[in-house]
Amino acid sequence: MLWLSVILILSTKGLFAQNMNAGARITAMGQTGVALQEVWSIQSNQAGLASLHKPIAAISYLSSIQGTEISTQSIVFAYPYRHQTFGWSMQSFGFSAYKERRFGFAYACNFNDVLYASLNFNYHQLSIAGYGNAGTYSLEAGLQFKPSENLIIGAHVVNPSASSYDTSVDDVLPVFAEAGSSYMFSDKVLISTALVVSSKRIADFRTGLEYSVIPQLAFRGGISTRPFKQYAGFGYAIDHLCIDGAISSHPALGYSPQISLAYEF
Amino acid sequence: MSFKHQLLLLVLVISFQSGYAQTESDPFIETLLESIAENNQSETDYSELSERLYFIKQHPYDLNTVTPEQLTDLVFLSPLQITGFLDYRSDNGPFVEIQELQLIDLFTEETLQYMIPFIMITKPGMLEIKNSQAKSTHELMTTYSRTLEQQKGYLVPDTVSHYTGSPFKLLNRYRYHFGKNISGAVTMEKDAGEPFGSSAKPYGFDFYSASLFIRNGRYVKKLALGDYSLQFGQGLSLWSGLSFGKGANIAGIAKLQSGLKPYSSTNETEFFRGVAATIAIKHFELTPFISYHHLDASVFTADTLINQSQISSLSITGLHRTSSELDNKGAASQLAYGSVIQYNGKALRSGAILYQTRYNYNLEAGQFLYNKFEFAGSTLTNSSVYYNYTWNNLYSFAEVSHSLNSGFALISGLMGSLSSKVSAVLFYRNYQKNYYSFFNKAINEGSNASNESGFYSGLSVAFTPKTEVSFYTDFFRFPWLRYRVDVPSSGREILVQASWSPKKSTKVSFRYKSNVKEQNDAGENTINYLVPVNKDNYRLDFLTKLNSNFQFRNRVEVVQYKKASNSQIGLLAYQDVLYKPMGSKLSGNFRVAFFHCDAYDSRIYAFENDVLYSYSIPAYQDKGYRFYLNTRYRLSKSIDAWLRYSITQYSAGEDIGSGLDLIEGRHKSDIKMQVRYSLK
Repeated sequence: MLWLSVILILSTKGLFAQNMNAGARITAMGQTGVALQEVWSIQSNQAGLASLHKPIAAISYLSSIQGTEISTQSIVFAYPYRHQTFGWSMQSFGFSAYKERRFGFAYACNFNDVLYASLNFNYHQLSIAGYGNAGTYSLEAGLQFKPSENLIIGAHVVNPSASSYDTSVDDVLPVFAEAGSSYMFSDKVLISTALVVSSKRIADFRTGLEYSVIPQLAFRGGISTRPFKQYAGFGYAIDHLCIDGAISSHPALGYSPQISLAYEF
Repeated sequence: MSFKHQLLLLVLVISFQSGYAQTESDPFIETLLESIAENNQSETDYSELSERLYFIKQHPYDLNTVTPEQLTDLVFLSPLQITGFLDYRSDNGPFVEIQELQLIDLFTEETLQYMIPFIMITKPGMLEIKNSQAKSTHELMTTYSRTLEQQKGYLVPDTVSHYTGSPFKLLNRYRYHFGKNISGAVTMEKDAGEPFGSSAKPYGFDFYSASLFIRNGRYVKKLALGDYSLQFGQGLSLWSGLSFGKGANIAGIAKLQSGLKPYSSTNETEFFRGVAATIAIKHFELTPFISYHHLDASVFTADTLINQSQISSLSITGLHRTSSELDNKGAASQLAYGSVIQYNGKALRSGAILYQTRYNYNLEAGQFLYNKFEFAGSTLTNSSVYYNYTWNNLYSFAEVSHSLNSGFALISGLMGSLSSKVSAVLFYRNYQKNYYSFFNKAINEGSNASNESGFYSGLSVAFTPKTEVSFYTDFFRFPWLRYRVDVPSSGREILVQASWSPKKSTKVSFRYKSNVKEQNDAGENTINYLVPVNKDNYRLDFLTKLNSNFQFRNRVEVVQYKKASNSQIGLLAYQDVLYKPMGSKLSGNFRVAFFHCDAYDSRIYAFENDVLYSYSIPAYQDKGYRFYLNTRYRLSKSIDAWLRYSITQYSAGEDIGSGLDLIEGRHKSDIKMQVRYSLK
C-alpha cells in the first residue's frame, strides 16, 4: 500500500507540485490566498503579511492522502516591524522514506495600507531513503492592492526563474503565476477568487467563501476547477488563539483533512 | 408619521413608474417562463404552469391574504423570500402599498418586477372584487397543427409499418372556474399520425383527461376528482408533473411542493387518475389518494398455459400512430394508492409519505449488467419522510426515502442569505442503486434519482441591483454501471452566469456551462474503458426594449463537445422581434435563427415562443436557418386567435429526420392555429 502511494504521488506530480499548504483557512476557501491577508499568506502570497500588526506563530497538519502516512506539516512565524513584516516558514511533505522540505524567508512591505509588496526566498530539499538528498533554491514575489476597505486585488509569481533540482533528480519545482481578488460584502461575508496559471497546466479558477456567524466563529467553503476539488472548513478564535479546520475532496484521491493553530502575541 | 410610512414614502419617491401593474404583459409571462424553462432540455409540458400564471394574473393574489402555498405558484420566489414576506407581514401588519415589498429583505428589484403582475391589495370599499370572485368563467380552446411536408409514415403502403392516422394534431381544452375555489378541466388530444374517429378508433380523440377540483372547504382543503398531480417533499418519492433541475437560479435546487393539484397537461402517462383529498385539522394535513389508469407497455407472454405475462418496457411517449404502438396502448394498468400526512408550523413543515404502486403484470428488468439493480416485480411500496425548516436567514430541507425491500435515498440541503447581496446553497444527495420510485423527480444527473451521489454548491452575488453573478458546481458519482458506461463513473458540472442591466429596458447576460462525464470509449469490447466526455456551452443573451411596442432579443451560443478524438462544435445565433402594442388587437413575434452544428452531440437547445400556453425547447442540429412567426389577433372581447408558422431550411443533405418521420428534401415547415373562446 505504501509503495502504491509513492507511485501514485510520483505519477501525479502535476497534482502535488503546488503542494504548498497555506493553512486550514485558506485551504477551506479553495486555496484562494492570493488576495487574502493573514499569517498563512507566507505560504500563499507573502504580500499579505505586510498587513499584520502583531507577531503571529502558526502550525498546521494536513493528512494529504487518507489511509496513508503521507502528510504535510508546516510551521510559520511572522514578525511585523513598523511598515515591514519578516516571515519564516518551514514545511515538510511526505513520509518516513520520502520527504520534501521547504524553508522560506519572506520580506513584506506595507505602503500606506494601500499597496503591499513582498519577496520570498525558499530553500528546497528532497530526501529519499537509500538514494540520498538534493537541494535547490527558488524565489517568489507578490503584490496586493487595497483600493478600498473591502476590496483586495492580489498577484503572485512562484519560481519565475524555473529553478529545479539538478538533473539526477526527476522532480520539478512548480512554476506558476496567480491573480485574484477578495471582497468583504458585509462584516460577515468574504468572497475570494483566484486564477492560477502554471507553466504546465491550463488555468485553474478557484473561489472561496467565508461566513462569520459570530465574530469568533466562521464557516468556509470553496472550489477549484482544475483539478475539480471541493473544500469546506471552520474557524474558531478564543482570545489570542485561533483554531481552523478544513477538508478537501479530490475526485480521485478522496478526502484530505487538515487542522491549523495560530497564536497572536 | 410612523417609521414605516416614512420608509414607504422614500420608496415611492425612488420607485419605478407607477402603473406598471396595469399593463397587460403576456410577453412578460413568456420571458418568465423562458427563464424557468431554459434549463430543462426535455420535452416538458409547461402548459399547466403557464395556464396557472395567466390565471393568477387575471385573479391576482391579495398581498394581505395570500398563503405560503399560493406563493409557491410564483415559481421565481425562493423559500427564503417567501419566509421573508410572511415575516414582514406578521411583524408590520397589512400591506398598504405594493411598493412596500421593496422593504423586505431579499426582495430585489427584479423580484418585484416579476411579482407585480400577480399581486394586488384589496382596499376597503373594493366590493366589486369580492363579488367577481364568485363568478364562473369558461374557456374553450382548440389547437390544430401539422407538418406541411409529407412524412414517410403517411406515404408507405399499408403492408408495412405506417402511421394509421392523419398528419395533423388536434387539441381541445375546456377550463371552468367558479370563483377561486372550484375549477374543472377537460383535455382531448390527438397527436399527428394517430387515427381519429375511424373504425379502428371509434371514440375520436386518442387521449382524454378530465378533472374537477374544489378548494377551501371547512375541513376538506382540497378535493380532486379525475386527473390530478401530487407533489410532496423534495420529489424523491412522490412528485408528478413539472419539476425544475439545476439552473442559473441556484435557489431552485430546493423544491417547493404544492401538494395536491389538478392535472390539465397533455402528458399522457405521468399523472394520477381517481380521487384525492387534502383534509386539514389544525396544523395537520392528511392527503389520501387512489389512482388507476392504463399505461402503454409492450407485454410479453412467455407461457400461454400458465398465462404468465411480463411487461418488458413501459412507454412514456403517449404516441399511438403505428399498429404496434396501438397494440401497446393501454396494455398495462397501474394502481397507486396511499397517503401523505403533513405538519405545517410557522417555520417547520414536515411530513411522511406511504404509498403503493401496483401493475397488473410483472415488470421485467433489462438483461444487461447495467440493468442488474433495476426494478423487477409488480408491486412497489414507497415510504418517505421530509421536512423544511427556516431559521433566521437559513433554510434547511431534507427527504429520506425507502422503497420497501430495496434501497434508500437521501436529499439534504441548506440555503442561506449570508448578506443582502450574497446567498449560498449546499445540496447533498445519495440515491442507492436499488432505490426505486415511479414518481420520482429529485435533482439528478442521470436519468432518474437512483444510482447516484453528489454534492452541489451554489453561490449568487448581487454586486449591485443591476449586476448579478450566480455560480454553481456539482460533483457526482454513479456507483453502478449505466447505459454506455461499463464501470462505476463520476463527473462534474459548473455553471456561471453573469447578468447586467445598464438600463431598465436592457439586459445582457453571459453564461458558461461545463459538464464532464465518463463514457465508454469507441471500442467494441465486452467491457470498455471510460473516456471523459466534455461539453462546454457559452451563451450570450441580449434583450432590449426599443419602445413600448417593440422588444428585441438576441442570442449567440457556442457548444464544444469533445470525447477522445471526436471533437465537435455547434453554433446558434438568433434574432427575435417581439411586437406587443398596448391595447392593440394584433400582437406577435418572429425569430430568424442561424445554426451550424457539426453533429448530434453538438446540438443546441433554445426556447421558442409559441401560441398561448404552448412552449417548446427544440434542439437545433445540423446546419441551416430557421424562421418562425407567431401572431395573435383579438377577434372580439371573448375570442382570440393565434397563428404560428415555422420553417427550417437545411443547407445540406437529401432528407430530414429518420424512420417514419423522414421528409425528402431540405426544408421542414409547420403550421399551428389556435382559437380561444372565453366567457366571463
